Amino acid sequence: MSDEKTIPFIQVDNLKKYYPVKGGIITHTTGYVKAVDGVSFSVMRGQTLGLVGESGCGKSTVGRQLVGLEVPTEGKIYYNGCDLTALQKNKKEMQRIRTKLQMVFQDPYSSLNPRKHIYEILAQPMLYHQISEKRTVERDIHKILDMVGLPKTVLGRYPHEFSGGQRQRIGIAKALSLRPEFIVCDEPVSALDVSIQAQILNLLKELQKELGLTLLFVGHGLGAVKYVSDQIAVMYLGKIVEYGEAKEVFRHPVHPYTKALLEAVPIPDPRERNKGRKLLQGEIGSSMNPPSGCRFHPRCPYAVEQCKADDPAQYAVVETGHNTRGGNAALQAAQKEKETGRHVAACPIVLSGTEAAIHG
Amino acid sequence: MAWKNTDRKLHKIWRRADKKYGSKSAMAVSMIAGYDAESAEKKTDISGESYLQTVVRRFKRHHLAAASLVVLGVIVLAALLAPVIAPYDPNDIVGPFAGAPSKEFWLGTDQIGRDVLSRLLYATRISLLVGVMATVISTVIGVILGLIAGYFGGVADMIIMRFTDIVMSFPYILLVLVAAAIFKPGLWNIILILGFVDWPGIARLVRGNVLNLRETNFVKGNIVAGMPLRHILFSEILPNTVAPILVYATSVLALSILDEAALSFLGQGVRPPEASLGNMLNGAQSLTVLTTQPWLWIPPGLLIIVIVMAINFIGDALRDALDPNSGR
Repeated sequence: MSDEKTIPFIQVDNLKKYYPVKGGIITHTTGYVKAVDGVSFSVMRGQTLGLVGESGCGKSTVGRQLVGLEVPTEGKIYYNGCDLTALQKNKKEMQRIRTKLQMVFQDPYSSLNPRKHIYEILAQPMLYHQISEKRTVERDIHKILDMVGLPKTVLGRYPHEFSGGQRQRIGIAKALSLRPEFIVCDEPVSALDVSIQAQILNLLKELQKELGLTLLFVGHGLGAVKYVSDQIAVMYLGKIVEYGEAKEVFRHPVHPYTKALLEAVPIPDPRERNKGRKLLQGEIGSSMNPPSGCRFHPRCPYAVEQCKADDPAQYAVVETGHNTRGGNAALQAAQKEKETGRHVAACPIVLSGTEAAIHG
Repeated sequence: MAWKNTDRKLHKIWRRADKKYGSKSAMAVSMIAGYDAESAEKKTDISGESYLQTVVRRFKRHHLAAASLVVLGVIVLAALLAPVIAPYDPNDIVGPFAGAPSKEFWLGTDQIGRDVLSRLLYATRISLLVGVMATVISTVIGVILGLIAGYFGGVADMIIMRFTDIVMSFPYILLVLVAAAIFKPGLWNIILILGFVDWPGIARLVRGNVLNLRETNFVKGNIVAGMPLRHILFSEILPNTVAPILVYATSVLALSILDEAALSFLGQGVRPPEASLGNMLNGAQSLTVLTTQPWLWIPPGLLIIVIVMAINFIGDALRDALDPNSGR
């Protein structure tokens, strides 16, 4: 069991997904949409990684690749030390792993087959994978419904008879029914009312604790992501620009894009609005033809000439350590390491040591 | 290998969860989670019925279609029971040549003295058989090709859809005439010929639907759940295209009956001693018959119109009734 603590449960290495663009008079590939362009991260067992970014930055594509819905163009995904990309060629092994990697979809209105009642939706995969037998399947389903907080009476109903929140519970139940270890939550609450969002987030958190699940939480609602995540990765145009412990990233954002994202969070008090807020201008760049150098430089308020040329391929380890309280020096150092060790940002200015420009 | 450990650990976790959740009452948990079972009960009161009941209820609201169903039912019943209720053998010469309707021969007799009513009953039988069988054949072909083209896409899609375009671009009646001439006209040949020319519309319809459904989350979800291809195609995708297929099939049915009538009228359909609605009209090609012996062409002509209209009305109502997303 010792390897469990040291080997990350999910490890993603330089993941890329390019979609060919066809065009021309004689159809041929004229270019590629670089939806995901070299993403690396790892998630430890039982932890949650939050993946945030604007629409179109490739965060959902990362999620879909992790559950095997899309085959990566390049790069490796290691699940529990096994190479998922290699497994995809082996149907039998893939089938075995499939059940352990599940997904909760964004839109609860299209994630359930409208022609089947809930019993069928839940029972069919369980029976197929022999997680449950005909004799016991009903009892097993009742348990899962209990877990997600739905009464047994839902079983004979059709999806259109439920509200969005209830459907999302059913979607979670469907993912859970296969006894997964890893669940990709692809913006699971963004289609729901705010009051329901909290319920679903709490449910996910509770289930994670209960079942030792590892989660990848894809979202653009920063509040929700902050609430459930242990680590956070901020994506911009197919690349991760900042990555670290959730609290640290939120408390001390380093990358200008992360800062801008946090600034953009709506403020309830109207008097507090627009007080020194620097909102981002312009649109997210084209992923077919991304900007040179740092991809964020056209929109970056701190951009200098150097940013157009230097691609921050490597991350700068951010040493914040703002949180150290006086006392034991060794304890301080340990605390600092724990807090800053995994907080990294890809920004040429930070890399070249002129981070004062950002912090200032 | 890490596998074994993981599996064992997973087993433990789930056993613990089983114990915990098995003992709790569903009601208590649902209340904690903020699920108001009672209001949901009230809200979905009407939906205690099955899908079929919903469809029937919605269908009944289309009065024209309901009436059409009754009329069509009577016609089908009469056709099925033709051997029992027909007063004479349809192919026997039993009366005067071209006799007007009388007490003995309700709809008169044709030029060689056969009873028109008896022939009409048997003709309806043949025409409906041709229509239904041709529709079944074209639906099966269209659904299979559409599923393959839509789900697999790529080269398969291109080949199938270009082939579909080719079949669609043939001048329809000419193709059927040529085919009928090559394969000898006859009941089963007509059925096969009509079946093999009517499928492109269904193939296109199914392909379009499958293209949409393939990208839906519930299909993706079942791929993630590791369900086999046959389950995804026939249990997830196909049931969701049944409604449009059914609606389209009704129009194919009506068209097939019309086509059979046209072919038989032109003498390339069902062979003469056997009666079909089309070849009964065949006799109406001469002006004398048209002007002086209306009992020879009005009954079969009227019957074709009634059957085709009834089928079309039913198809329209089905379109509304089968839509799962439409209101109550």
